[in-house]
Amino acid sequence: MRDMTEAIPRTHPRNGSRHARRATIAIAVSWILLVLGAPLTLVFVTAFGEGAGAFFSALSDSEFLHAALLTMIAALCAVAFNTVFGVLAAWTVARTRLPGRRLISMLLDLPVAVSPVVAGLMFLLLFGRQGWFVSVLERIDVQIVFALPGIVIATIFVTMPFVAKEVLAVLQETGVAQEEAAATLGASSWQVFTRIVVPNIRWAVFYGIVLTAARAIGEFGAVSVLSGNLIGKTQTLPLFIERAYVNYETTLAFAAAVPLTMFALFTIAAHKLIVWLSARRRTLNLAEEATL
Amino acid sequence: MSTTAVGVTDIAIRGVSRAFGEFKALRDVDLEVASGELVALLGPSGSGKTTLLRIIAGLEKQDAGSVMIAGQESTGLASRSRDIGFVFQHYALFKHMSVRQNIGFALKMRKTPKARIDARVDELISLFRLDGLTARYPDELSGGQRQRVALARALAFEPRILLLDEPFGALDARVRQELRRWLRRLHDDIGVTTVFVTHDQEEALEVADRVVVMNEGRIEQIGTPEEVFSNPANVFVMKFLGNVNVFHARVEHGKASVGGLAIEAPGSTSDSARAYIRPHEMDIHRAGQHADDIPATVAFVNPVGANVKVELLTDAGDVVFVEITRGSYLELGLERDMAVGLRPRVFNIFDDYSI
Repeated sequence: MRDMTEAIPRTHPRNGSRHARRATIAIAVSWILLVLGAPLTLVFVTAFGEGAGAFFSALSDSEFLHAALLTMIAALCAVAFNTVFGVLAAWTVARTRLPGRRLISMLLDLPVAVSPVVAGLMFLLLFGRQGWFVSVLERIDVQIVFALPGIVIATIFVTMPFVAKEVLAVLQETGVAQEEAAATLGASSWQVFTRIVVPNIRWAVFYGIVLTAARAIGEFGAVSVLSGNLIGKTQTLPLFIERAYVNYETTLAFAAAVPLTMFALFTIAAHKLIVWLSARRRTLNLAEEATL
Repeated sequence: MSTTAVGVTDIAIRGVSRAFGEFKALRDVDLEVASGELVALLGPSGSGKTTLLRIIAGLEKQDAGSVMIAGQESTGLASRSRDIGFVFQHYALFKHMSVRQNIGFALKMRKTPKARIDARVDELISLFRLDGLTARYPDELSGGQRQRVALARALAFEPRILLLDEPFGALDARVRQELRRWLRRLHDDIGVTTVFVTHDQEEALEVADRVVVMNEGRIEQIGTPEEVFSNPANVFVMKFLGNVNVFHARVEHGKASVGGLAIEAPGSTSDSARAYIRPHEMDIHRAGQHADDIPATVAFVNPVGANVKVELLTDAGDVVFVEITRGSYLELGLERDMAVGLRPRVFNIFDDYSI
């Protein structure tokens, strides 16, 4: 076993600077509690404010269930599409000499940089009643705006970069040498992909998916422009929450906010889990060897 | 070399060129490597040696020229069909696979039965002194261990040719020395045709059967270590293969004169030339011992080591480095500011324009 402990030089602050340290820590902790902890607690407190019965009856509201289903469908579509697209885009940028690959990499930032409301308006201009594609859409009799396809397109757009960026970072950091090595050792392109590339990028893909899902579920701006916010038809969970709150149905609004908040917490937990899992493999392996 | 006498050519490169944009990495390169040979591609960075190695392996495509492997035209043939083991500069071990899985990878790709993979991997593990490390992952190995895993992995499928890109570059000096000799012994044992790239002349001269000296995309000279060191084809090779002193010479009637000393220079066509002399190819005499010695003054003496290193200043103003034995150092009683005579034993005269 190698020595895992490293000598960390400890500083011994003088009395004055110790007070300054404590003050700094106090400010940081209270800021986090105020800005993050308090609102988070408030969501749960308000949701259960009228008792667990009211909470669960709110969650069995048929409009809520429809909104939740719609949000899940949109999120699943976004995850499926953006996982495939993200891996392909990252691979194209990192591993080919395609002219314009840097442009792709820059454009990946666009969906995050542009305001979701603006994104919604862009699609309205493309697919709306006065939009560019209106004649095509009418001929094939497909409605995009104020319908499920519009919600899905808006969600895909705003969640486009997550998988691509995570995977791109890993591909660039890993370099091409392992893939070349596999090729000289007799692996076909497909084997290089499944046996070398996939294992190297799997955690990046997983984390990208978690981020995509979190963003897709919480998306408000673009979807609100493109969906028309039709109750029981094109209303997603965030739109449902907003309407409930505006209509003074506070318990309903906060009860519906609980699953969204839970998913946000799950996102953080998933990231920690990924870090922990990749560290554990090493520890396990060293332990196994020590017993030999 | 008995292996060369067999006359089988494993690698034949003809007229290979490669450019990356404006940069010409290789310009019309020809090279043949016989079966069982150990060849070093030696040159400074940017000389094209790594590009040439990658073209042989099929990891890079040449713009022009042909590469024959074992008599078969290989242009357009994928890396995996070339029967070549490649050791990458930073080893490129598969990070998510254990040592055992790394070494067994090539056989697994060839759908070898598991029992045979295990047997072959066990064999390599003991050959490469990796016992006890089989369950480890690459980031749990030292530099030397990673290097040996990379070698074992590249040799697992018994390739016809082994290529190594700067195999010792990433190791510290002591491990490098040890692995160098070990690679030479390994090559003598298994006899696989081997080409390795290095920028370290000592490494090339110590390990290889033949050294290919490269510069700016061209091959400057091909020869045994002895040939390239003692009979350099040009100034570049001379300078690249070790310390060298430069003297200006005048050329008249096929004779070059350096100081008062006249040397035969039959090949010379210009009227001025330079003489290149290695530090150990010169003697120091007492001043006035020979009338035609080059007069000089001792500037610095470093008596530590097997040979004594002396720095001198000639009366013409050139700085000259000389290595002499301890014996002659003591006999001469060399010290600073002493006037002496310099006499080269060997000359390499190159016309002035060749620089």
